[in-house]
Amino acid sequence: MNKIAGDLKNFAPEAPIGMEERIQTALSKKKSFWLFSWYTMNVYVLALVGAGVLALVFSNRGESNVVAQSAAPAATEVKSTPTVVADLNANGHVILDAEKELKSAPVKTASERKSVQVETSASALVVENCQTTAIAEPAVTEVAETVEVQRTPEEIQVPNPVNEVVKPKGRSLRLTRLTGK
Amino acid sequence: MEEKNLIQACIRGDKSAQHMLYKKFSSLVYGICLRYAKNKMEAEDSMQEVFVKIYNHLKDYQSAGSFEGWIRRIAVNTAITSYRKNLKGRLEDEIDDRSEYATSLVENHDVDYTMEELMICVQALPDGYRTVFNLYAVEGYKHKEIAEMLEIDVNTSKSQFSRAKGHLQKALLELSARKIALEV
Repeated sequence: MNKIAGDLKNFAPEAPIGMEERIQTALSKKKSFWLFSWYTMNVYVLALVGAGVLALVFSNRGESNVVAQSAAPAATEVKSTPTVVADLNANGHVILDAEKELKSAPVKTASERKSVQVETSASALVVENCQTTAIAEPAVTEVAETVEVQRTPEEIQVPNPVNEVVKPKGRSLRLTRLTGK
Repeated sequence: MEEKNLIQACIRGDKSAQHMLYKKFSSLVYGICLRYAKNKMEAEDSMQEVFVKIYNHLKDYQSAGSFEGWIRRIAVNTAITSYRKNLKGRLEDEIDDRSEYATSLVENHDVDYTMEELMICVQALPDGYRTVFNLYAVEGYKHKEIAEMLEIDVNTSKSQFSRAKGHLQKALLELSARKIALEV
């Protein structure tokens, strides 16, 4: 067995032809990823451009979301502005018949939101500049929803009347003499 | 070129130095790969892997030990890694529990064989037997070390070596018998 082992240990046959080229190809394949080449360069450039486009698309989406979010509270502002506008004129004096003006105030539609927003900002400026008059803040009325909970009455089970006739204990006595029957 | 200079040139990526290194050690590496592989194709794949590892890790070689020993170790480790990957083969080996051969059957008999014939007999061994046989009989590892390397039990290593020896002896006996029959 030792002879066999020794023979095997010293066995060094000639390597097959073309093996060296195969090894070199494998080596260059492994390295090529890290080496500069126009092909990999193009891939990197394309990847960068793609990433840039994606970033632009997502940033635009983000902006449109912000606009949508800012548009939502504007609707509430539209309702609250007429009271402020009605109380003040351009010079900052109190208008006496504010109720009348309130009624005559035009109803703002959704398309006029922007102009209303500008108006509200202008009115806010007026409010800031006006020091002499006290501004009555729009009263916030809270409508409490009343929820009536009706409970269905539980069924009351009435026991069925017992048909059994309970006979009185003791002897039954007929009084015939007194009644005459 | 001196070995140190050759290694340094290979690290720099000098193609002629790499060619020289290949010329010097290709036979040794191919011999080891043939011993651990099932066939020539598998040995060639293994040899390619070994040389790629050698070229890529030359900078890690510390000149404390011999360079040939370092290359040999890389080749053996590659074979072990390949064996570990092939768990299916290991299972077959565990199941394969054919009758034990008398290990002393041809102990004192001289069996004539060529190296090619011997290699065919070794390659015909089941994966587990062949690996343990190579590691123990040829490389000189102990059963405990082999058990750790192959993640098997020490007794499994011992029994696989014993069976491998039996298989090999039987194959060589059959070979010599065939030869005698042809001569007659």
